[in-house]
Amino acid sequence: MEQPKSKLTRRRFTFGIGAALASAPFAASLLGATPAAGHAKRLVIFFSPNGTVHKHWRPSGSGASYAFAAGSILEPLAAHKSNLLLLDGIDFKGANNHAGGMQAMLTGGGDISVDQYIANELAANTRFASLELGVQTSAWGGNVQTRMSYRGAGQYAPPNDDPLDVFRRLYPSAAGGSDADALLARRKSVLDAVRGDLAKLRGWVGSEQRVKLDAHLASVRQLETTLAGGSGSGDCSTPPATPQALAKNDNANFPAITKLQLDMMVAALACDMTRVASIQLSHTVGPPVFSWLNISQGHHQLSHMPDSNSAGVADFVKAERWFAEQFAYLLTKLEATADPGGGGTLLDTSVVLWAKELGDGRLHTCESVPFIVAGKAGGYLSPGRYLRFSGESHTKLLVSLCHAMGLSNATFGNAAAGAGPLSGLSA
Amino acid sequence: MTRTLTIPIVLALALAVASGCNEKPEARGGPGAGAACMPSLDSFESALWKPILSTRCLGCHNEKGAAKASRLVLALPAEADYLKRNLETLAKVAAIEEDGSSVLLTRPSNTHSKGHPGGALARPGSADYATLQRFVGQISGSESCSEPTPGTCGPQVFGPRTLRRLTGAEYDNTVADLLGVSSAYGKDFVADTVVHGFANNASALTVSPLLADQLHAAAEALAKKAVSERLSAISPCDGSADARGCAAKFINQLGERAFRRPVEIDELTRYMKVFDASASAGFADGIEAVVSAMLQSPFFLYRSELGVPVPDKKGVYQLSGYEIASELSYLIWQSMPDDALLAAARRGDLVTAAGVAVEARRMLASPRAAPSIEQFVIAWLGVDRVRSTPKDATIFPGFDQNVRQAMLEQVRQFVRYVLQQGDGTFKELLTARYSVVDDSLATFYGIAAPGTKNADGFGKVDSADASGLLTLGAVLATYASPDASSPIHRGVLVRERLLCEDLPPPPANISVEPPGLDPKLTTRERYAQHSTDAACRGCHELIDPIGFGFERFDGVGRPRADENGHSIDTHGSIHGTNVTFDGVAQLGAHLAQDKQARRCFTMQWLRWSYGQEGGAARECLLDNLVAAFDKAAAAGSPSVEALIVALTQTDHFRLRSGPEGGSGPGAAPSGGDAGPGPAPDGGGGGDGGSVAPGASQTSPGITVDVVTDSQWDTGYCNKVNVKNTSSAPVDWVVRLQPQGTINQHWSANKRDEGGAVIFDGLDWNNVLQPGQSTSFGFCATL
Repeated sequence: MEQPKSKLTRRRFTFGIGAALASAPFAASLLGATPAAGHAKRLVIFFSPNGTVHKHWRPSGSGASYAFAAGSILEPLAAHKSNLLLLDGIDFKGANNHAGGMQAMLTGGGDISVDQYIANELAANTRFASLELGVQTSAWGGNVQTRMSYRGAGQYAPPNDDPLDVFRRLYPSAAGGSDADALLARRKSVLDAVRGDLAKLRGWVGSEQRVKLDAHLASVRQLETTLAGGSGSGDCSTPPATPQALAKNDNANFPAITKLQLDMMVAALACDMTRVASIQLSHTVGPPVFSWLNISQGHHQLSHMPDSNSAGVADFVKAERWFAEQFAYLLTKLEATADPGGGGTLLDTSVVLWAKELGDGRLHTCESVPFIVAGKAGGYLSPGRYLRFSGESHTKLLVSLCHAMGLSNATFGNAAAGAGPLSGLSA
Repeated sequence: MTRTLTIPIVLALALAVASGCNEKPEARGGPGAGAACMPSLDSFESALWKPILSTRCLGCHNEKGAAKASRLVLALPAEADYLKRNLETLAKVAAIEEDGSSVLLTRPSNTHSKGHPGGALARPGSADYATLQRFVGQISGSESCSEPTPGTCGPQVFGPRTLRRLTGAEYDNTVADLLGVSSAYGKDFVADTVVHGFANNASALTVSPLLADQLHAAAEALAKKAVSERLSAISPCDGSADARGCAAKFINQLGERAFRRPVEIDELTRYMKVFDASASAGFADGIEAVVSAMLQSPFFLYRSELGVPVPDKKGVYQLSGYEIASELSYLIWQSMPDDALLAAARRGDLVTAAGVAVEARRMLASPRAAPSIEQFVIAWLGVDRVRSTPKDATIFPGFDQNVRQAMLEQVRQFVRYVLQQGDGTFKELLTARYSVVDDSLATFYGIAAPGTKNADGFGKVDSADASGLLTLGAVLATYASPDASSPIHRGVLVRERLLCEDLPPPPANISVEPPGLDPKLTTRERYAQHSTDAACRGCHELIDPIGFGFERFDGVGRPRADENGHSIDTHGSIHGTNVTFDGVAQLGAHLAQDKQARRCFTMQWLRWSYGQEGGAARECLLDNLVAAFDKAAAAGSPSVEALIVALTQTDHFRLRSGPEGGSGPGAAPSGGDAGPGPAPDGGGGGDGGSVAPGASQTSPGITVDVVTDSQWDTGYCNKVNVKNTSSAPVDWVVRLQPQGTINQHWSANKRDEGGAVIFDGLDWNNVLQPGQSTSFGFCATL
C-alpha cells in the first residue's frame, strides 16, 4: 500500500493516449452486475448545509420496506431507492451548532477529516490524492463555517469553487512528444529549486513554522505527482467541453456551477484521476437564495422557519428537494459510468455519502443528523434500506466509511464516542 | 460527577477579594500543591476581564443572558464593584472540578462531557486557554500570583518569529512591481482563511495542494508573459555574449527584489541549475524557468519575520533591515519594497525605530498608501461581501452587479476622500456628514448627484443622515437580510467589528425563528419578539437595540423615511453601558470618542498589520499602541496615518521572541543545505557588546589578512585571518569596506555601519590571547 507520493512516472500530460482502453464503450450487460463482496475503490462526499426538518426528511416504513412521501425532501431520490442507506438517529457527540457541526461532521472531533485520512492511507498515487470541489463556499473566506475537509489541525483542504480552474487542473493543455519531455524536465528543475529553498528555510524556523513548511512541501510533492500524471488506471485523454466562464460567487449561477462541478467530478473518477472526491454545496449558515425556484429568502433563513410558517417551511422543503435532485443526478451519473478497473459501475464500486452538519436546523442541534450512504462499495454495503439508530455516534459512520474503503481502524476522531463501524450497513 | 474542590478555600478567597487584598488563603493539601492565591484586580482586569470575559463570555453569562442559569453569571460594567465580584465568581468556577478538570477549562473549550452551548471559545493550546489555565492554577495553588501575569505590560512586548505568506492581493501587487506585468491570478487563488475579517493572519496562511497547483500555473503564465514582453526591462543583459554570466547577474538582481533580500550563494547555484536545465532551448527559456521558480519559492511567497538572535538576550531575535523593509512595504503598500526602501535596508537604516519612522512617513506620503488603508477598511468591516450577498430581486430591483461593484468602490472612494480631503481621522470615518457617490449610486440611493466629480466619477454629497462608513451602502446591504434590513446583522457588526466583542452563536436547542415579512409592522416591531422571549433576550439585548439605530436605511442601503407608511423609531442603546442614541449619526458620534471603540480600531490595525489574532497574549502590545495613538492624538495628530506610524514604532516591529536554541538564520540547517540567513544589520538597540555604535575601528594590536578564497563574475568569497600581535588579550573588532553586498558570513558577527562592515568575534573566538589567531569569512555579490 505504501507508495512514494512523489514518484515521477512517465505518464505526463499526454497520459494514457492510445494506451488505455479501460473505458472503451461499456457493455450494457455489465451495468447491473453485482460486484464481488469486498470494499470500495473510491469515496465520494456530497454536502449540503443547514440541517433539515426531520418530518419532511424521514421516509415511511423501515428496513428494506420504505417509501418517500409525495412532496417530501427525499422524493427526488425515488429512482435510487435500492442504492441508498438512509441513516436516521445518528448524533455528533460533543458538538452542536453551525460551526461545531461543520467542524465535527467529517473529523469526528479529531484533527483530520475522514476523506483526507482515507486519501493518505490509500496512497493511491493517482494524479490527485483527493479532489475537493465546491459551489459558492468561499465568499466569506475560509473559516470553520465554510470548510469541511481538514488535512490536519487547523489546516483546511479548501474546495475549488471555479469550474474553469477545476478544468485547468484536470485537463492541462497537452504538449506532445519531445516538447512534453522538455516541459516535464523544466518543471522538475523548477520544483527541485522550490524544494531546495523550502528545505533551507525550514532550517531557519521554529517548530510552529515548520508545520507550515512541511504542509507546503507536501503540497509541492502532490503537485509533482499531478504534473507527472500519476499512475491511475483510466484514460483521461478525452476531456469534456471546456466549461463556460461563470462568476463563481454569483447566486444565479449556483445551479449551473453545481452541474459543471458534478460532471467534472464524475469524469475525474471515471478515468481514475483520484479515488477520493468531495463536493461542497455552499456552507453552514450558507445564504444562497434559490431564485431559480422563485424563492426569495436565503437558505439559512429558510432553515429557521417555524412550523407555524407553512409557506416558509414549504420553501425550505423545496430548496432541500433541489439538493436531493443534485444528489440523484450524481448517483445517476455514477451508475451510468463504468469503473475503469472493472467490477461494475462507479456506483457499484464506490461509497458515496450525503453529509449534513446539523440535525434540526431550527434548533442548531447535531442530533439525528440525516446521513445518506449510497453505492455498493464493492460489496461492503448492502443498500436499499432505511435504518434507524438511537443516538449512535457519527464517528462510527466515519469508521464505516474507512472500512468500506478497505481500512481497518477501530475508531475515527473522538475515540471515546465509540469504537467499530455502524452495525447493519453490510449485508 | 461534580465535586467542589475546596469549599473553605473558596470562601477564604471570597473574603480576600471582599476585603480588597490579595492575601494568600490557606494552602490546599496534596503532593506538589503550592499555596492557592488570587491575582490582583489589575491583573485580573488586564489578563482575564478585558481580553476574554468581557468580550467572549459576558454576552451570555450575565444575569439575563442565555447562560443565566449557569454557574458563571458575570456582573456588567455598569454595576458597582463589577470587577471584584467577577473575580470572585470566576474563582469559584475555577475551583469546580468535574471529571478531573476545572470547569473553567472544560466548558469554554467545549471539552466538558456536557459540552458548552456557546461552542469552543478557548481551545486547548490557544493563548486564551493558557490564560485560563494559569488562573485555575493560581486558584488551586499550582501557579504563583507573584510573577507578572501574562498580559501585564512590560517595556518590551513582541510576538513570535513567523513566516507570513503573501495574500492573493499582495501577490498580484508584488508581481506587478517585480516584473512590470499585471496579475489577476492572486485574486482568484482559492480563498484564504479569514480570521476576524482579515485574510492575512500569519498562522492561518498555508499552501494547500490546491494553492500549490494554482501558484504553479500562475508562475508559469506570468514568467512567460514577463519574458516575452519585458525581457529587456527585467534583465540587465541579453545573454548574447555570456549567457551563464548574464543569467547569474539576472538571478542576483531579480532575486534581491523577489526575495526582498540579497541572494545567497547556495541560492545562486540552485537557480543557475534551473537556468541550465532550460537554456538549451535559448536564453529566454532559461530566464523564464528561473522566474517561474522564483515565483514559487518560499522566499518569494513568505515574508520572513525570523530575525537573528540578539546576543545576551535569551529568546530575543532582531529582525534584519530587509525583514523590516518588507514589514513596512506590505503594511503601507501591500507590496514589495521599492528600491529606496531596499537601499535603506542595505544601509542599515531600518534597525532603529527612528530610521523606520523616516521611511514610514515617506511611504505614507506616496499615493500608493491610500489603497492599502482602503483595503484595511474593506476587510475590517467585511464589506467585500456586498459583491455576492444574496438579495431578492423582486424586493430590491435594480440591486444588480453594477450597483454592488459601485458600492464597493464607494467604500474606497469615501476612505480616500477622508484621508486626502478630510482630516483623516477615525472620527471622520465614523461621523462624516457626507458621502461620496457617482451618478449611478446617487440614482440608486435616490439622493442628489454630486456637483463636482473626480476622475473616477465620484464626488462628495452632503447628507444630514450620513454617518461616515456606517451609512455606506456596502455596509448596510452586507449587514441585512436578502429580503429586508436586519437590526441583528447591524448590531452584530457594531459589537464585533467596532467594539471587538465576540458574540457567541445562538445556543443550540433554542428554536431560532426570524420574524417573517409583515407589511403591517415595522422591522423594529417584527424583531421586538427577541426582547420578549426570555431565551433570546440575554444576547439580543446586546444586539438589536444597536441595530435599530440603522432602521432609516433599507436592506440595500437606501434611505427611507418610513416603512410601508409606518413611522420609524431609531432610538437605540448599547446594553451594558449607559449609552442611548437616536439614529445612526448619534451612534457614530458616540463610537468615534468611545474608549473601547478606539481600542478596538487599534486592535483591528494590530491584527491587519502584524497578521496576528490579538487576544490575551497581545494585550500589552495593544496597550502600548493605544497609548501611542492617544499620544499622537494629544500632540495634534489624531489621524489614521499617525496610528500606522505608531505601528511601526513598537518593539514588535523590530524584535521577535522564539524558543532558546531554535536555529535562526545564521545557524546552518541540518541536511547540509547550508547558508546563513538574512544578515543582521545591527547589534539590536545598543546591546551590541563592547563596541560603541558609530565609532568602530579595527582593534589596535591585531593584524588582519584578507585572502580571496574564490571569485566569479558576480561575486566572491573571502577569508579573513586575525592575529593578536600585542602582549595583552584583545576582544577584536575588524572594520572592512568590502565590494558588493555581503550575503553570507561565518565565524563572526557582522553589522553595517556608515558604509563599512564591522565584524567581531563569536563567544568562542572573540578574545585572542597574545600570539593567538582566528579567522572568519564572508561571501558577497557584486
